[in-house]
Amino acid sequence: MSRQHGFLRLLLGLAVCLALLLAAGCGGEDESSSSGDTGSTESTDTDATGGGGDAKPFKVGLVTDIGGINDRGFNQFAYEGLKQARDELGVEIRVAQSDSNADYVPNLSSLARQGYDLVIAVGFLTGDATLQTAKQFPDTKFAIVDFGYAPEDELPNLQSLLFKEQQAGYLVGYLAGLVTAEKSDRTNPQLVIGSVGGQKIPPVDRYIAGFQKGAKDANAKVKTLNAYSQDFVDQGKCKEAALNQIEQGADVVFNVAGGCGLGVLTAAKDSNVWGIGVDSDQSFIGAQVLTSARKKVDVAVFEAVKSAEAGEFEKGTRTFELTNEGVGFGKVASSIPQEMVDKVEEQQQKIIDGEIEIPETVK
Amino acid sequence: MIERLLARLPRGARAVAVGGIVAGLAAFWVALPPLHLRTPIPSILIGLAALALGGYAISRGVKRLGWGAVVAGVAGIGLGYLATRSSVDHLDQVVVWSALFAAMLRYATPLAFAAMGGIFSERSGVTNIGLEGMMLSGAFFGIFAADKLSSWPLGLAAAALSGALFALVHAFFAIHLRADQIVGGFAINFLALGVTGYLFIDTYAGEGTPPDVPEIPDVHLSFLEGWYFVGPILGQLNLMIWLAFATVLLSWLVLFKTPIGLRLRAVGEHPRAADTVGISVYRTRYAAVVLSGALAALGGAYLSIGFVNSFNQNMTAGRGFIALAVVICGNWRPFQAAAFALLFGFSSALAQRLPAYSESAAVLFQALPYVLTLIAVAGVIGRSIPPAAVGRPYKKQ
Repeated sequence: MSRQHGFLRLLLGLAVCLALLLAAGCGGEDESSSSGDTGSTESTDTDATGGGGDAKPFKVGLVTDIGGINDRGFNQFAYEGLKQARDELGVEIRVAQSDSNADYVPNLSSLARQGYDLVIAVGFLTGDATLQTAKQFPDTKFAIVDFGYAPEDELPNLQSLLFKEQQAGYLVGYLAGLVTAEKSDRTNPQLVIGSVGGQKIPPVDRYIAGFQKGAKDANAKVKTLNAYSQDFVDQGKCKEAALNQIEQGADVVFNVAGGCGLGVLTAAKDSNVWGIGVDSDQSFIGAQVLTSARKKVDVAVFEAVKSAEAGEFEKGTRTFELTNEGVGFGKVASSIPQEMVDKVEEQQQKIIDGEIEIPETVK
Repeated sequence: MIERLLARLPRGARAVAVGGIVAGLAAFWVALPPLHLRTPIPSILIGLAALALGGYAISRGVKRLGWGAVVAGVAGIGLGYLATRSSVDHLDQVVVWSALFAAMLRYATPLAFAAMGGIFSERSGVTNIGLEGMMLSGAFFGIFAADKLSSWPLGLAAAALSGALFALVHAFFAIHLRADQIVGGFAINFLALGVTGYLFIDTYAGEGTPPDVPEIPDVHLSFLEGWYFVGPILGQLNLMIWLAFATVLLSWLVLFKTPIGLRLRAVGEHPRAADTVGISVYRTRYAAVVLSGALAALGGAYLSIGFVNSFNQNMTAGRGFIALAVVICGNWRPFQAAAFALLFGFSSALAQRLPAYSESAAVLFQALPYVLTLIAVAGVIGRSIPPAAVGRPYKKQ
């Protein structure tokens, strides 16, 4: 009898907890759509000196994806770009972080409802939510980083900020192809390199496609491995994926997974191989960082705010690439000989001159 | 000693059934690296042998193990056939045995710590659903102290202390106030989520934990390096993984080979009787629950300063609950629970690699550990029997 009783109590307890969870979840959502963004950090900053004689400053809101603004990757850089806009253009800014995919719509619409002139959504994952919100608030301008819409979905108040990640991926892949063939204490005789993506989504795959093409162009014998962690947050998953590649002989591993991908760089450190950073210049993380595939989200966000504030908002897509310094490669580890860097820069010039065709999808 | 161990080995029909299960696994194994035979015939033959052994065992009345052998045989044939049909390239990418086993140990370590904690608590009669929160607090306070005090041993100590404090709260509610232990445990989980989340943002917002936090070192066993298979697995393991092995062994010794363990189990089975012979039920339960919090927190600290060297909000992501499942599957016994932690670790490691076959099914593969656990519980273990007084507050008369 007692065991039966205990089991019933367990069930009851679980039911109560489930109800609590649901209540907490719903409550949070309610609040964030009505009064802001509970459960997520936010900050409002007005620059008292900027803005000139405008009675009403231009207000820009930013919604991060689940990576959060301390991902040392593109969310953080979007925020940097926004802060730059505040300092240089005197706009009023506010950030809403999303703790889950369910937060995008509430965060976006709450900013729009509060009268923000431009709302910027960061990340491919926010794509559908941004489209939906932009339809609901035709008077608010929306910009989205990393998501391109089909022509039939384009709205007059919606702008896509896209990058040619494949160009940055190509350059770091080219360097990786050179480095893996070189003898050093971080490389092994096998010509294997790997990449760890967060999810199979276009911006991630553009990096990886470029990475693989670059490596093959540097050395046709290089074997490339690729895996997806299915996660942009949990560093453990990315570290595991990278360790698996290192065990298969990879001596350069490329982080293409935002905050999760920091685990790739930890794996490189633990196993004494090279790691490649992504989006921001991640060389500060440690000596194991060979270089970083740069995607200057800060530049894109700043440019978007600048033109919107000047009344030059345009619908459709703005592309950031090597020619307008929207992508590139970061600081190269000091132990890498200058000739290699020179070779990479040669390739960079070739891309700018349109001599190299880089694929956008991973086979 | 050895004779006693031998005496515990299965005999007769049971041995046949176990042989059948092994044969079933072997049927799959021959199709994998490093052998990877490219024809399904050996798999089918070995699998049929497993079926025959299973059938024999069933006919002799060894039902559960016998059916286990039959299922293993069928699965071995099926999976072996599939493996021979898939490309060698894919197989080599997914099945790197040494990497798989090393990953298994890494996944199993936090579970093993928390599960040992769970066993102590539940053996003393207090359900501890708060393991998750205690792990999380260990993960945060471990890295917080390691960062601020620039020392990983202090980080570990702080982690254990924080887990113990959360456990003390749980113990107070469960033992003194006789509150519902499930609800109390859940309160601990939410409390830990809130406290660590708040402190994390307050301390590290915008930056995340710094990259140069002192971390728990790996143990390099250079003499193992050249060894086939063993070298890559055991040659460079984190200190915490070795400590996890030690913790499992110690837990077993304490629980089943010392008077303290006997008293603790007595309190969990029949507190009134224990009280009558002069064992303090309250004190024993307090000690067990506090210890369980400290152990769970060590598991959490492994995640933050042992494995990824950083902290994220809610980074334990349900591992405490899995540890709870491990406790139950392991029948509240340290070695069995450790075995389940390893099974869980292995299937997690495998699930993480399987998407090489099908990217779109990746999310489905992530359910593999849970499915395997269900099968193991239903098929091999059967009913698990909790300590009689678990979850029931004790009132002194």
